[in-house]
Amino acid sequence: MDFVITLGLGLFAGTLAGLLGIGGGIVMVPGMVLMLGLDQHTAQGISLGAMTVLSLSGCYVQIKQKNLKIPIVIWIAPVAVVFGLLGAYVAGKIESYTLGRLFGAFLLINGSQMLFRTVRKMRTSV
Amino acid sequence: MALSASATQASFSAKTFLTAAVIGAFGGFLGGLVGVGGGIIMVPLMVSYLRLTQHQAIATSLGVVLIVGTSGASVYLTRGDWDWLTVIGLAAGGIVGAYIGARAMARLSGDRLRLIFSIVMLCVGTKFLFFP
Repeated sequence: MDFVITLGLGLFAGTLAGLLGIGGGIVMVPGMVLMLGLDQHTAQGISLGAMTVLSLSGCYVQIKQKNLKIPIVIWIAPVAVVFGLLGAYVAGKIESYTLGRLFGAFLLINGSQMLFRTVRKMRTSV
Repeated sequence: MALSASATQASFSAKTFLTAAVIGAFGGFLGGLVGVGGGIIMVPLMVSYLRLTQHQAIATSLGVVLIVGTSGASVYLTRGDWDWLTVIGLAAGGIVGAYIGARAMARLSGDRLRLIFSIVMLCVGTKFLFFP
């Protein structure tokens, strides 16, 4: 049964990843903690492992569609790896609840701005 | 679509790559700080500052996820925070899902994608604000 949940969770996270270009960890990590009872750290490791594989199939489609800009990936990814490690290191040193809340507020502000702009643009263009 | 793609390609310059590196630094740092991949931060930034179309930004972000994910996974794997059976299950479902998602993405307009993206941003934002 757990394996069926795992497959379903992967399918859902993968669809979001392919559709929106995000890793899917945002769905997989809480999904594994809540539904499979895994601890946070193991869930994060597993999610990264699955992400590596599922993004390959998304990348395959995107390269065929000629949307994936490899030169930009080459400039963003190594910097993101280094700063990601730095961020993870800093996170271990400070109180993480405040950080999470700030990040949530940041996403809510930017997300609602993007939502309003897009809805307005879609209305005027009809 | 073909027109905008060639226009973007022509504008790949030193400034473009510097901007890309700054986006990588910002997205990577914030992502590492709160434990997300960074795609949710980098896709809107790529649209705003690299003038990529929504489709190109999403596709390029997937390429970044591939590399960032691989390096992150190797850290957790060597530390032992890992379970092969779950990785295989998620990956199996994920391969199919990502293929479906990427094909669906190609059929949706940039505005539709932005709409879905902003709703996901709001959901993730709510989650972090109330359950950090």
